[in-house]
Amino acid sequence: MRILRTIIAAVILLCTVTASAQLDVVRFTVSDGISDAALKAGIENSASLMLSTLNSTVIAGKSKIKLEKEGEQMFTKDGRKCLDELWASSAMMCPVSQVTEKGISMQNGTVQVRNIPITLLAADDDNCEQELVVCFNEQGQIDNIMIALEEHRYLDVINAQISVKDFHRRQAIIDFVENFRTAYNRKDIDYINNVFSDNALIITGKVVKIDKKKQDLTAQSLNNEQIQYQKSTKEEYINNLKKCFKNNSYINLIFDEIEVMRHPKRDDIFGVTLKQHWNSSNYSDVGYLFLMINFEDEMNPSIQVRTWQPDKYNGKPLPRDEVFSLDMFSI
Amino acid sequence: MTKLIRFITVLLALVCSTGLQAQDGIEIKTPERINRMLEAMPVNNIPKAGRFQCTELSGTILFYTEAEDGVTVQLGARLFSDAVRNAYDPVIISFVERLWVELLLRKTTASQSALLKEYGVRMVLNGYPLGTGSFRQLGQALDVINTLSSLSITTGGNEIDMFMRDKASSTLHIYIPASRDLLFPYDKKEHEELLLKELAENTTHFSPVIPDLNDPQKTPQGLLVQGGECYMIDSLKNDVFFTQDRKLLYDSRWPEQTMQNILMCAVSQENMGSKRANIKPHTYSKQNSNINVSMDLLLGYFQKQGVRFYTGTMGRNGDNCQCLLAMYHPVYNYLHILTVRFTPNQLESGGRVTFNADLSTFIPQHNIKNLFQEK
Repeated sequence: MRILRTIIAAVILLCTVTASAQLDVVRFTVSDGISDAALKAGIENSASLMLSTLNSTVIAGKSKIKLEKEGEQMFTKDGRKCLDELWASSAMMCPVSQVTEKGISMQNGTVQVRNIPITLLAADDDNCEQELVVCFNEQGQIDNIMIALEEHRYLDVINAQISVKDFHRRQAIIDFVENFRTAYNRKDIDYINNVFSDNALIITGKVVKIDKKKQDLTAQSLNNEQIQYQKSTKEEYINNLKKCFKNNSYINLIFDEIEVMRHPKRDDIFGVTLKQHWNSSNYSDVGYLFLMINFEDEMNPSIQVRTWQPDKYNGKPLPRDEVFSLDMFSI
Repeated sequence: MTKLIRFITVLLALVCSTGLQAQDGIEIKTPERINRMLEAMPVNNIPKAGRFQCTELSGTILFYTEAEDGVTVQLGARLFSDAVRNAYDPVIISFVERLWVELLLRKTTASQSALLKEYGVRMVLNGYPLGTGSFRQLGQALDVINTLSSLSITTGGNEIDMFMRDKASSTLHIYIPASRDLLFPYDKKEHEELLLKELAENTTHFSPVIPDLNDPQKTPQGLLVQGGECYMIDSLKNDVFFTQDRKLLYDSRWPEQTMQNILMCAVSQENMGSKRANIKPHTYSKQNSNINVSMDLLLGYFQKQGVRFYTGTMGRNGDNCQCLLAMYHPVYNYLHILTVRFTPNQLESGGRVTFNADLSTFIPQHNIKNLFQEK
């Protein structure tokens, strides 16, 4: 995926630069905010050189950023150190050939430029597209570079209105979900059989290609994939799972982005939506899993609904409002 | 007589081969994850614990196994010196050394990158992830580790950053999701069983943790409170309660606050000494029987684990009170929850009293997006 990302970033560059220009060249222009012409020119030169150098370093696959003497002079000592440290955390390139942004004059005479698009090659797919913030001194030298990397941390908000009892119940659900995941990894079919209600509703989505020849012209120009849903009984699901366990010596499920919602009228019914990464000897996929869990018997919660949907179709993420949730089922 | 000796020999062999029978009937075995790795190793006669070579995987790296109670619990590539191992978190170091073996068991760089992706681990050499730019082979990362000039491990968020620099200023970042399931070789069932066994055998006593009374808050009832740090919700805090004359609270007229002080280890040895807990474990296997343990040793065990303590009250029904202790590990991102049921007169009694309690362990916290979702 990362190799692909490098290639894609390079191809985008190739497509966006003029035929006569070099592949790696990025032109940075200050649109507004700096009245001093010399400072504006200095900032444009420094930023253009930095972004172009990032691209040429990636295209050459070099491990370190090397600058000519003239290039080194466009950085302060701190700015150069900053660039090396950023590079050490991830190689990066600018995916466009022209960047135009306004300069923000700071009180101490320095200038900040924000929103410079950048692709981080070492980041995961969700975090690879980022923006740089570059700070320049009064001479237009780069003095600091920052990246607005989104912290992958969810639990920042302290919830004022939640009781300890409610916290306890919801953590019990996370515990149950973790046990459920563990059962797949252990191929513990008895455990899974026990936690599904006998009348469980099990729905599995599958991406199918639409036969374009059978569509009218308008439809042809639109998307050619759709999700088809298949309903199965608990018995069918467990039998399929037994075959799957038999055919895979190794299964590693990973759950992420877990959201827990309580039924508005039933205190003992909860909906859990999460992103499931299925990794096994023969197959892997990513999708959204929804579980409706009945906690009436706290020691033996049961799953009443299980749905799975692919996380992407037509090359785009599944829209959030299409992901199954508790309010889509009547109890 | 010969038959008897043979019987004893067979019995001993059986005991040795099936692992240790812990208290409470829990059988501790080699973790499944380690078993899979051992089976995949292209070498015979791997010791239960000790160092060995495997030239099929690497001619330069020494491999090792570690055992606890005679059961192999770790298989790794010996990448780091003893000095590094002593200075940094052994769980993280062991994980990286175990991961290295798993990577070496994969033949191509592409399949090694696929494993890193599966685990959510990013290995970045001089800015490039494995398989891109100048980072063509895993061995290049080993060059940095073998000539280390500096190493730092940053923890506390949802990702651990292990950062290494060599003498030629090459840099290697290993970004690891801060997840118990990944960092430890045990799955949840195995880890729970290990915890119950360790808890039953624990001899580490609690250490009183009494905060300085600096700028305390005052409760509506006039008690002084020191703490204020929340875990996830406002009503779960690391609060310790004091009387108006600034003495540590231990008073059955304030049963919940007194119990919160006990759970926070803000209590004298004398007041802790006579208390026991009859704990029902809520585990994957559902078959673990209750544990009867002194509060002293129970809290001492969790203190030793390095978890942070937060308490809250769960309401009262007549004289029946209930408090909750949330124990959060900030590096491995798991949570243990202990709920304790008690009556005020149990706090008055100078003799031995037993509280009823429930314990849930290793609840993952790293992958929660929204625990309190509302429509």
